[in-house]
Amino acid sequence: MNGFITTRRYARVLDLPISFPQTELRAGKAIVITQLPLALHQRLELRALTLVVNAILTPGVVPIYLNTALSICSVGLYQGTMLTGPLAYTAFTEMTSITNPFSPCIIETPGTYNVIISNNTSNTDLSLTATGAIKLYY
Amino acid sequence: MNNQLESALVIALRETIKWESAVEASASGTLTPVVPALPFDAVTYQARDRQLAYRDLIVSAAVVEVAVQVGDVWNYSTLKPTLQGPAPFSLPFVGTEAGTYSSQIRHVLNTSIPYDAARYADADLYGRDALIYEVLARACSSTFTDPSIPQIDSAGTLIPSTSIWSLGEGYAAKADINTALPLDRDLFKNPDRNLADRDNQLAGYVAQLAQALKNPFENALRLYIQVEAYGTVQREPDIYALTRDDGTHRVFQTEPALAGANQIIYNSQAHTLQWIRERVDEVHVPQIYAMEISGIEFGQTITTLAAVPEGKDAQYWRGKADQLEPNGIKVADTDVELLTTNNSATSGGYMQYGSASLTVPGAISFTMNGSLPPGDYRVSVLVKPNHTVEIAGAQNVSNTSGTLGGATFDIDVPSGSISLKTYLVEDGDGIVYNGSLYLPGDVFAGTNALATYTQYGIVTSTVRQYAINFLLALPEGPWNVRLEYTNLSGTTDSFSIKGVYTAAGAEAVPVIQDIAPLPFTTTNGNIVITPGASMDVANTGPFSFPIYWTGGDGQFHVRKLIFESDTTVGRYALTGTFAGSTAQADVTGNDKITGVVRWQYSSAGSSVGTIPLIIDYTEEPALPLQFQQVQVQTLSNFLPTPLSQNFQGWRQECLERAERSIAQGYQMAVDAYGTDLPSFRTSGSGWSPDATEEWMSFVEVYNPRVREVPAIATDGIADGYQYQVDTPYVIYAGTVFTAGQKFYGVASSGTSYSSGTVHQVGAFIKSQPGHVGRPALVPYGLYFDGTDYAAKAYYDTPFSTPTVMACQPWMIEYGLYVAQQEFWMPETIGLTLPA
Amino acid sequence: MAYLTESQLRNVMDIPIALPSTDLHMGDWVMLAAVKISVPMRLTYRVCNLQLSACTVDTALITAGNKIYGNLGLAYLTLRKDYTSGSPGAAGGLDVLISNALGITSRNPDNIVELTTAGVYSWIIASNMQPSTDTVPIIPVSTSINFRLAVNGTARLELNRA
Repeated sequence: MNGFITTRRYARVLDLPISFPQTELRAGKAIVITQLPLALHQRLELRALTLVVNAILTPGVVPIYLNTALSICSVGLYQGTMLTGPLAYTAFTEMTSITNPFSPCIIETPGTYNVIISNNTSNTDLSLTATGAIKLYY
Repeated sequence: MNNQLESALVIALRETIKWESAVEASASGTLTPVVPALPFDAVTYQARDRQLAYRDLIVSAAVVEVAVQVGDVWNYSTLKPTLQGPAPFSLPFVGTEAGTYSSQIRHVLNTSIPYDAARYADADLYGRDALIYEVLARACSSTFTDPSIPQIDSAGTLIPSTSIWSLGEGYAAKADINTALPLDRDLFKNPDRNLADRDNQLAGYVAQLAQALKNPFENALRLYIQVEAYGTVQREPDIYALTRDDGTHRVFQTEPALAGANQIIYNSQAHTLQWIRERVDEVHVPQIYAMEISGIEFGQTITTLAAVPEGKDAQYWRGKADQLEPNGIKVADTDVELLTTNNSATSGGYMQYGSASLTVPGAISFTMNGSLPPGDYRVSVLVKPNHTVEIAGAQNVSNTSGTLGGATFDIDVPSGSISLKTYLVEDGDGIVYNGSLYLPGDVFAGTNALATYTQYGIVTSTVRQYAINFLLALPEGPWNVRLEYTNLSGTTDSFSIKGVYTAAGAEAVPVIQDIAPLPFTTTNGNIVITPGASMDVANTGPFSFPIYWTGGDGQFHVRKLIFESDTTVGRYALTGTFAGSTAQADVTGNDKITGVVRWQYSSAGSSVGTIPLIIDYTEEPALPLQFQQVQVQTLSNFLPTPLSQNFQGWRQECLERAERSIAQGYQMAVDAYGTDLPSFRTSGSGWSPDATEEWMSFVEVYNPRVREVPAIATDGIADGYQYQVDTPYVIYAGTVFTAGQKFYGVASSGTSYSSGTVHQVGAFIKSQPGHVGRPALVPYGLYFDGTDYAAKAYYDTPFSTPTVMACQPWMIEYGLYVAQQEFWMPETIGLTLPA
Repeated sequence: MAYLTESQLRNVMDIPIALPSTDLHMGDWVMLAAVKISVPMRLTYRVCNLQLSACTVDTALITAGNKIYGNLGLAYLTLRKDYTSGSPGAAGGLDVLISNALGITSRNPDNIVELTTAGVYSWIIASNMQPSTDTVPIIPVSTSINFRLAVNGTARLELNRA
């Protein structure tokens, strides 16, 4: 992994976008931002995934958590659909939070993987933005 | 260390030890003998001198060999002579050839006879060579762990160590014994003076080299340092490279190269060594240099190893990763866990084959043991939504158990053995039980109050068990049920089986109708499955499902009931109660796709003993949920290493180096096994938890410190593996090791230990639910097949190279191993827990 | 100029600044992307395209009175540091791409914005339209000037700026 890059190798390293522009996400809703099928011999690396809470659209309401472990909203990379078992994630604790880019989430097992953003409350609507990139080696 | 020919330090050295007229001497170390009774033969004396010259070259080669080892270990180029040809570096020695070992030479006089040259001067020259060589070999032996030249007098009884060196009238005369020259004193003395001069050069080189070995810190470019305390290595040997030398301070630094930390500083004025580790809260008092000095903490020693650095394994990188703490939230494992749930730690729900479950909304409770420190907690449960509900035969409410988790119907029940079961009377004239007459074919309910019955009439009747009852709840809707059964004793060619669904307060509905006997044509013990039978579950309340053995001989045994629906998606609103508070989880799951449900709690203080987790499943009743494992972790803040912002990639770097060392070892094992390579897949490409363990054993062949294994059997110590003591002490090979100490298994010390428990030390640990997303060691090509809902390995052993990647829930189910906590980074950057 | 190694390439990723075709109402703004960086990361912004594909009014009728900020055209894409709320056109932005007419407006890629200070950097697309403040407005004040626009760009994130 420390060898020099040839142009041929470079052509097979891509950055797949995770782009979720500011969107209103109602209480209890989850959206699949992107789905990534991975074949044998391919490799996915997620390093940076940023979550911004632009606005709380139902102010004055004490949030009722659907998933206490995921704060009021979260975005993460999943193998299945269970939001509480992310392979990598970041959840709201301050206005903007980001996964740890120095600890990449590496996937090399064939399958389909989802990036899901979710509003984890049952009574609070939120305006959220999520941005990131996944490196695909194929 | 003294007496290393210090007085030879003043000798001016020449660059080359010349070959001149040296002749290869006998490998035994003997010189060509002189027989004084025979006529004088100058050739013999000439040969001896030439052989002595060759022995000088051997000593010279030894000097070069030790100088090369200094370069290998300390990474700098030291003084060494140039050789003019190849010579071995091991000096053969015969004691009877040597004269004195005091470095003097008894040169021939005008009054001497030729034989005196052999028995005095040559013998003393032989002794000088041996003295020089042995001084060097002793210096080498006391410095290096693996000395490059052997000693000739390791007991020290023959050749003394001395600081005195006689020049022996050495003079570079380049003379030889020539039969054409007059037979006088100088004919013999001049060649001997030349040999003495060569010895002087060698003594000078050896003296210089011995000085360098006394204090490697003066010149070394690399140090190999280990930190120990109380017999246990705290920090495995690290390479420190010279980064700065200002004439007074020689600064050696190791990775991670934090500013002003992770250094060894040698002060060449004061001759002291100081260690600065990654945390600068406690300062090391500079110690006078030595190969072993005191450390910072009580009982700690810092040892400079005189050895060539060796390849590092994953466990080493685990220790290195731990030397740098990042900024952020730390997740740590506790001992509060359940590795399996199909045991008495679970109450509530319905126990399925292999794990506890909630088939419909309800409550389930897990009782764990351990100690929980104060802090915030993360509780993770490995779950699997599954529309196939497998109930073991023994999970009945009719007190009936049997082999392999099934239920074996009682046959030939004698009087005195009636209990709370349903029985059938067979043959004979009938029986009387509890005042009532039961004729053959009648069914009666036994009670625990009365265990006996009496025969009625003349012909004896037999009594056998007739039914077992199951209590279960399932989501509303259509279900399909099958029965796994067999015959355990006697012979039968069929069974008549009936199964009935009775919802609470409703009429019984026949599901498995015994319209005709089901043939049993296989061997006793082989499992047969009934054809699928449809049933409609009316509501989520518990229903009764008795199984009746209505006909057929032999001994009916029910292994399993299998209920199946078509539902593929479920939603689970789960409230978890733990440590005195509640938390919510609301997730969706897909049939047979393993997932992790997680709750988070704030601290309620520490607790020890039994620690319960209660899960209340409130919505929605559609797809039953299995609970396979439970794990509790604590959340706290890391204590960041000072000035480490630019080293945030350090732990990931250590993990990658560990991965590389494991992959290299794996490839070595594949090459070593050749055509005898074992395979771990089953039925083509199938994978299982057992396959994971077997594959890990193969990975361990050249990586014995990859896997942490708890509670090693008392006769399970293996050669080359490392173990750590968990109890107050253990005894292995007669040595007592106390709690926390580590030791290696050695073949000659046997496989047994006693008086406590140890675990096998390794960089990777068995994955648990809280480890989802953490780096896991996965065979390359392993994947989860979404059609068969099982893990499969695309490649066989040669290509199943260990690869580190994020742990997915199905990997936890299949028992894969994750990197230990020392490699973990915070999940979100820059976040800390509020105080 | 050094050769690029595979491990260095792992530390570099291209962050998307993307908005699919979206209706942006008069005076509204939407955050497209955000990246939080810390030491020793570097974010480099060079390329972005802003496409105004449609407008609910004839753009020729738009006057200076319709513009909230006179110099920010019809719509603009701004890069701001630690933005939480408020008008994205306020002073203190790090970069702006202004569209003055229907069609594609591209950023000059030679104008490189290099960001190394820790913080949250966000890209916000904003409509610069308001009901006309002219005495005699050409476009009635009750008419909402809405745009259909799309954005496509990228920023390069290097985890180790060394």
